Amino acid sequence: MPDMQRDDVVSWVYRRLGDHDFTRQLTAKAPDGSRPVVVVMPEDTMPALGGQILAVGGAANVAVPFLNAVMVFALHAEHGDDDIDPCDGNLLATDCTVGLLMARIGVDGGGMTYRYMADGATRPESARIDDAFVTF
Amino acid sequence: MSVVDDELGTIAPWRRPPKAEWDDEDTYTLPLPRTTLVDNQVKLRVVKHRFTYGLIEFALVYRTLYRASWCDVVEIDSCHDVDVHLHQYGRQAKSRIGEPGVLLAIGSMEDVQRGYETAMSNLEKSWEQLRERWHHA
Repeated sequence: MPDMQRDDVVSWVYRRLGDHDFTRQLTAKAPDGSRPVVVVMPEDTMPALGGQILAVGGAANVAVPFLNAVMVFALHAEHGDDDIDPCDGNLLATDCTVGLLMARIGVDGGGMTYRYMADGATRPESARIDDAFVTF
Repeated sequence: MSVVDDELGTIAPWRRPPKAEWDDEDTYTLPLPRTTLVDNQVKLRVVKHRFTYGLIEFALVYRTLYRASWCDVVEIDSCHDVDVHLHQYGRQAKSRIGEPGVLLAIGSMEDVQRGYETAMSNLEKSWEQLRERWHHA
C-alpha cells in the first residue's frame, strides 16, 4: 500500500464501516451516542487533534496512517482544571505531533492519559487513550 | 439482483428481513475529504443483519456549520422506500427542497450495500458542489 494521504484514509474508513470486525473496535462514543471517526496525519499536532475531538463532544475514534496500515485508537479529551506541573511525565510538548503520540502509545500501551497545551490555553487539556489497534 | 415474480412477470418489491433479525442501529459521525469534522460532517445511521452483518438500511446526512449552527445539506437514505434516494435541503428554506433524486433501485440486501457505496462515493466527490447548491437554494 503506498503512503496514504488524509483523503485516502477518509475513503478507507468509509469502506471499512461495512466490516463488522472493524466497527466493533470503534469504542469511543460522543454524547449524542454516535461513534465519531477523526482522521489525522502523523504530522498534525496534538492541539489540532484535541480541537477536533472537543468539537465532536470529547470522544472519538482516531484513524492515522501508520506505515502501510492504519492505527485506530479511542481518544477522550477534556479541558483541564489543574495548573501545569513541570514534573508531569505525561505532559506533552506544545509542538508534539500525532506521530510522536503514536510512538508513545507503542511504548506505554493503552489506558494512558496525556496532557497537552491547546493554543491559547492556560491550563493543559487531557487526552486518554484506549483500545488502540492497527489494521489494514 | 432483483427478485422476479414468475407468475406475474413483474419485479417483486424489496422486502427487508423481519425486525427480529435486525441488529441495534449504529450511528457514526464521519469526516469528508478536504475538510475536518469541525466544519463539515456526515451523520451515518446503519442497521445491519444480526447474523450476517449485511446492511439492511442506512441513512446519511451531510451537514455543515453555518453561522454557529449545524445545517442539513443533503440526506441520502434507503429507508421507507425501494430505492436509495437523495434529498436536497436549502439554506433559506431550512427544509427539503424538490423531489428526491433516485440513485439506485433496491431489490436485495446486496443492493443496499451497493447503494451505501454509491452514496459515500457521491458525497466524497461532490459535497462541495452540494454545499454550494444548498447555500444558494
